[in-house]
Amino acid sequence: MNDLFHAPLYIQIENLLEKKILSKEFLPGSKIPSERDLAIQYGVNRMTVKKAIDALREKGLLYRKQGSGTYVTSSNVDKENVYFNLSFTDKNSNSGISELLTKNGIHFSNEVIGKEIISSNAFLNDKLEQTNNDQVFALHRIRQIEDNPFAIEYNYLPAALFSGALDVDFKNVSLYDYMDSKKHRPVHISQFIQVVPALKKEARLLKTDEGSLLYYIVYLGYDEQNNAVEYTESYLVSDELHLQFTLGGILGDKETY
Amino acid sequence: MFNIINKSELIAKDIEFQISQKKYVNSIPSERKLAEQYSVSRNTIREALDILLNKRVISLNSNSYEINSPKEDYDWLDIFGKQSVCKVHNSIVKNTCLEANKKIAQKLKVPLATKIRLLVYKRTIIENNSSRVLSLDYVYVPEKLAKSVDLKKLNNSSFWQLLLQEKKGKNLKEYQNLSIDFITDEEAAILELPTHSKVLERTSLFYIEDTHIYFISKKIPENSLLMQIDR
Repeated sequence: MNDLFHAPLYIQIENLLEKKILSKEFLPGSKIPSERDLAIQYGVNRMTVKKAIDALREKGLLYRKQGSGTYVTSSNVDKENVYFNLSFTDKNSNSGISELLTKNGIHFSNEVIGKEIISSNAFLNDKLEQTNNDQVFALHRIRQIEDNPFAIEYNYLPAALFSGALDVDFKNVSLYDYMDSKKHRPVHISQFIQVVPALKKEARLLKTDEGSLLYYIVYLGYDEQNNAVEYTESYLVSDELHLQFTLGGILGDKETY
Repeated sequence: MFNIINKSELIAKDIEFQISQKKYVNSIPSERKLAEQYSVSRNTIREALDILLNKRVISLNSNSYEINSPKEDYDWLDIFGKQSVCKVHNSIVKNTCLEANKKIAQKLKVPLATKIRLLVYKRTIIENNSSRVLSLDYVYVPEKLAKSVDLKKLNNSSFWQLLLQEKKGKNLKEYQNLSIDFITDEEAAILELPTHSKVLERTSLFYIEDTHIYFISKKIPENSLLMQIDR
């Protein structure tokens, strides 16, 4: 790697130890070789090894037991389950939360808290670019990992394009898979993200405190024919959640993909 | 009546719709008038208004509910050379040259001790004679690139606006991470926030041609919006 070429020895030692920890060559809870042995093994000064180990201790990957040696921190299973990054490769190819989490091997469940056909709602019809005689299919869900809810999703779809949606079991079927089966999967997504304090309702549904900060994300999804096929408002807990995006564009001009 | 959207949520959405249609401009009708209009109790109206206050669609000013101008993603506007409706002012906290330490060297993919320009500035928005603090921004950029940018104008233009005067049309790639975190006491003082406040932290690595820029923006949550709808 280019940057390793520049890196001083202690960083290289740090990186190789980190790699062994992450690859489980050094198992969580196990003792790593002594500073002296590592120094001999890699032909470096003992101070160099010490510096690398100190950095890893600071990162929390290693800890020292008095009079015994240096050990690999054992990862806390509970923590692993609730802490994750939601990454979006780019904002126009949003694959939906389900797909992202499944891809990352995180098991989660859906609870449908309501579904309904809504008639003549000016706000929703405007978002979905329909006339006021058109109907909207509404689906409200809670996403949870084990018993920890992490998101509320309010989905609204044009009912005309998704007839029969009321009969779909959205506890087990992903919304995007269903939309795909109807040939109206969103392929372009516009969205904005805001941070809002939880009101009573969100706090209750997400089992958090009123006033705790939530990500509030509004999506508009368009299918290949450029029909507005989805308007979604979602609230995500922020404590254990980072959102990641990869964006591309032309400086001073526009986003491109 | 619908079950899954309750009355106050429904009314909140309808008021938002009226605002988007410019049926209401500057302010919305009083609680009493709205209660009459929707034939519901004052309590239901208050709940609806709470939803809109919480999302900062409106704000309560003495006794009337004023409509806030739509929030914008200022970084996004700056990077893509678009105009904001508001004036943004920057007060410079730091403008120094430093040698890259390990963390910065790795972020910017440069050898240790490469000369790096660190810019720290507080962004304030001026709207209707009042000002609101937006964020505290940190820009780490190789000195070589920083030298080509006219940093004297940093008070009135963000680093991105200045950069694009030189590099407009270049491809860029951004890896962005959002988290909500506590700020340090020092930052709290600069941002005029109580200590132990939480901010929305946008951390980005920008790749513009072969130069890398590390950008951190600590944003006041209620004044911030990210990635606006841009269809």
